[in-house]
Amino acid sequence: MAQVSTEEIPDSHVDRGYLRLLLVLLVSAAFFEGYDSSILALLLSDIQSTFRVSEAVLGVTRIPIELGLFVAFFVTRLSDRLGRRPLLLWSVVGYTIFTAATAFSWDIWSFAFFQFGSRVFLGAEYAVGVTMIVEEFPAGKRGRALGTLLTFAALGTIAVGLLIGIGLQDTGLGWRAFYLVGLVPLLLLIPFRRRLRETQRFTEMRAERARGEVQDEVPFLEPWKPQYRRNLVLVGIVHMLRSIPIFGSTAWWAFYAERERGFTSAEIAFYIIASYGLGCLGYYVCGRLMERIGRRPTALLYFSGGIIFSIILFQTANKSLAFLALMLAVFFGLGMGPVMSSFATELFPTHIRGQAAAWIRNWFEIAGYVFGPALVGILGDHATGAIGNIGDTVTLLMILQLPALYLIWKFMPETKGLELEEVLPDDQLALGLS
Amino acid sequence: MNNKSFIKGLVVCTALMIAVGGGLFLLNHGHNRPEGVAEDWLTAIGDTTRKGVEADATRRADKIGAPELAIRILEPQPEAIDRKAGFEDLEVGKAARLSEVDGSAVRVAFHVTARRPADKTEEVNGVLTLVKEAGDDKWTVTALDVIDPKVAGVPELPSNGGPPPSSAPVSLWLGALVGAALVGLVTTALVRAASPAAPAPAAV
Repeated sequence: MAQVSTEEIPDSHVDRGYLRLLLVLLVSAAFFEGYDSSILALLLSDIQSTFRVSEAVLGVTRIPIELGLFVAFFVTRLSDRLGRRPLLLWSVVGYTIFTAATAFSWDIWSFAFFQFGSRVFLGAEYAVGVTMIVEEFPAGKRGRALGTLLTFAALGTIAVGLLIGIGLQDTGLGWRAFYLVGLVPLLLLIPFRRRLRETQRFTEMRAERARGEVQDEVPFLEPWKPQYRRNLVLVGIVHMLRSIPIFGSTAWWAFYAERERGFTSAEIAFYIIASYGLGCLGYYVCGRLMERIGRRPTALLYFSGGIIFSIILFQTANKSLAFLALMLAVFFGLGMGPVMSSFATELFPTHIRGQAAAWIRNWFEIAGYVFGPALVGILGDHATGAIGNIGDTVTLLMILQLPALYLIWKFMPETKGLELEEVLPDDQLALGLS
Repeated sequence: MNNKSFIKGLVVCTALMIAVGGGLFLLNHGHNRPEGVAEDWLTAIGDTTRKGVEADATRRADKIGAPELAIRILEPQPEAIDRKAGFEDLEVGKAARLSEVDGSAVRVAFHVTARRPADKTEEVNGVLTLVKEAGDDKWTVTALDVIDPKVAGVPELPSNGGPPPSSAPVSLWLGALVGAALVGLVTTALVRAASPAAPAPAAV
């Protein structure tokens, strides 16, 4: 258990009504983060048809689009200087403008540019949203709030599936209609923006800066300073070990199910919607569980579940078992998002929290976005891959995730029930004295 | 960490990525499975009816085998299937050599769910013949027969209990366990190295 600091701990400084409003605003942002990310994945072939481009060109355009999440790092770190509130508001505005502009793309390159912009602001919006929850919610409610936030991100994916199910892509606007729906967050923001406040912890830190107690400009490499470095490396490595197999498996499951297990496209659509619908509970349960049994045991449970059920999913030929495994792989594998977000934020002090979370998400975790699907595609390619089998390749990557369990068990500090000021001072955690 | 160490770190990461890329290239080198080629050809054939990508798909298919071979399984009027992909889904089985001694000609079972007019579909089973020219490593699709794979004497599709076209050998599974242990050692060392030094004991 971490040492309790003698610093003054702010008591429940934020009223419940405001917390509810904040959660509503943040979940709508999270919902559209999941929504927007899924449009491209699920409607790629329609977009390809509209712009009449080859598979190769389509592959190339994905690179600048996904790089937007990397650039989001530089936007997110501004939140430690300018504040959480302005960053969140401008991220929603930026995201909405670029998403709406995507609907008016005239060729694949304009499409890629607008999606790049949208990813930059989506990435920043998500990271700032998580930071605001961690800073504003009291220790006993933080996990649940994070769980709720991430549940809505998953619901965004389901919403795209349902809109495809009712045939929105077959209307006159085609796939463009999906991007116009992305204007909704701005409509929500207009009436609520005046009620959104700066987080109390950031306000206090700004006052400390004004008094000269904290440096004004947070250097780019601040989270790498010796007192924070261990937590940054630890949490970053755990994120990377998780993200490579997770994104490799989510990107390739539909292809694997069709080409290696003989699923029909209708079966795949049904499995995805049903499993994501039920698997969403994983986020919520994770949020509750990390408050009840702690961050570390929850992470160990979710990591183990994610590995076990993903291996079953990519090895079984039995469709009923595959359905159950898919549901539980989503429940545990994706559902551990809240506990991962708490590691990425709670273990760092307020003046670098946004930046540390950005380092973890946009440098370490992005490796999974880029390398996970690429590794599975290269090694599992049925014609030229060294393994030539998607199911086996994903399973092998899942095995390589095992060291994350050891790192969490051995090194990860526990922050259950602690206010952020109690989690600090960092040097005690970093030295393993907790 | 100062700027210099950060740049060093970036250089190490880049070198590592290049090494991994090179390793993957070496690992993949020399693999050219007819099952994967058959699958690529069927995918391209399916796309030849898809709005906007007809020309690209025909070019892709033509590199592997004449698109005309698929005339019996593909809807001839793309408008009748709303210019969607000709196949909803597809699967191929493990290749079987045509002759015991000569591995340059193989047969591969396949299954496609072909789109038909009025939102209907048809399940089509068949066998593709692929040939590799002497001195050439490239497989070419030379024939398509609509026939039950069992009757044709080729291995069943994996979804019907047939063997997968390829799978990881036992050595690779063991290698993954060893690899996980190595990753564990390296990451543990990195975390320990990132820890600040413990304060020196007070001088007596």
